[in-house]
Amino acid sequence: MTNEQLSGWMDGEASAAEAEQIVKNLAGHGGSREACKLYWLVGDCLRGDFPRGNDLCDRVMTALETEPTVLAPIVHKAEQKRGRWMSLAAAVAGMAVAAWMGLGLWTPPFQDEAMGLARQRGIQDQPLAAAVSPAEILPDDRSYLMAHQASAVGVPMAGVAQYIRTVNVEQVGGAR
Amino acid sequence: MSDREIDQQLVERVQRGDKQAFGLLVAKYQRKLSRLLSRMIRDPAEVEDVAQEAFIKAYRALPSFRGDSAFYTWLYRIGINTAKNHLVSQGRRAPTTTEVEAEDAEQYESGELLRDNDTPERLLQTRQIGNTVNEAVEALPEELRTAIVLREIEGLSYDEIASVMGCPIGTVRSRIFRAREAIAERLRPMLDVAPDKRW
Repeated sequence: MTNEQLSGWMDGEASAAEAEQIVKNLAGHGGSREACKLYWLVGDCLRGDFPRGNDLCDRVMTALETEPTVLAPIVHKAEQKRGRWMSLAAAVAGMAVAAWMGLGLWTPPFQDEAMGLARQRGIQDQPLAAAVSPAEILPDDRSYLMAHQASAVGVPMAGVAQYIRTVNVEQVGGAR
Repeated sequence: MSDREIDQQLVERVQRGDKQAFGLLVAKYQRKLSRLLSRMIRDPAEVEDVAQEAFIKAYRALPSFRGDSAFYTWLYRIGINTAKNHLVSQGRRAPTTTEVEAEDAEQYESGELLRDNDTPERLLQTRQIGNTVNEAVEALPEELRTAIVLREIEGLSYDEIASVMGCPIGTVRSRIFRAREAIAERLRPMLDVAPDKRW
């Protein structure tokens, strides 16, 4: 790296690749850093901004010797942009899945095969709700179910009322 | 590559653990920050202390700097807050942000930087540097002088300077570098006087 390249970089006239190389080289080249400082001083003086006291560089760097070295994860602009798009895409995808399931378009996997197999074996294709209708529960059974609800096995379901318990009644030869 | 991008490059170097890169940012902005602080604090020695404190605070806060604003804008805010805290701790009234910004918006002539409460030594030092730079610029060949003035004072890009001067960009780059070197050569002996007299 020549001082001419350094001078061009300071004016923002270096290409991205050249600039990257210059900044890397500056870390291990005290002479180039000194040249940099001097060129900035020249620029400030030409604009009438003369130094009015001691050089702060040495003071600040001496004070920083006792400071722990800062290390921060570098978040590049492209990653930030991509992250923003990814979160947006995830939100849209989530809404689409919810809408799809809500509209009844979703079929659980293997349901068609299972239904086909059931039909082959002569099992009637009837809705589960039709198997036991509330009308078939006799008033006595209802009171029995209510009385034994507390001892029924609870099946906690996430997101659903935790206190709901299921009770069933089976009649064998007239006895419950 | 803009000035802001250059600063961002240096900031990223510091964030990767390169302390020397922070030294470059200090070298670049120390005079600008000191000039800003001198509008709030009159004593030059105090200005130096507050500027140093502001740079150290900036270094500590650098991991959280993400480049959403320019580095100097961020440093400027730290500088203002440090100066306000300093004044409050001294029992003095801190100027409001509006007062500082209003002053900041004004164009300052170089002569205004020479405050009454600068010590005679400081005044002499500043004058010597000013004279040296002026003499160095006057001694430059015409094409170097024009190139450096268009760049540093007028803020033109190399492309614009090439158009104005009617020469290739490579020539502009070379002329500006040679002008800088010639002025720097005159300043170097002044910088090596004594450690406590350096700037």
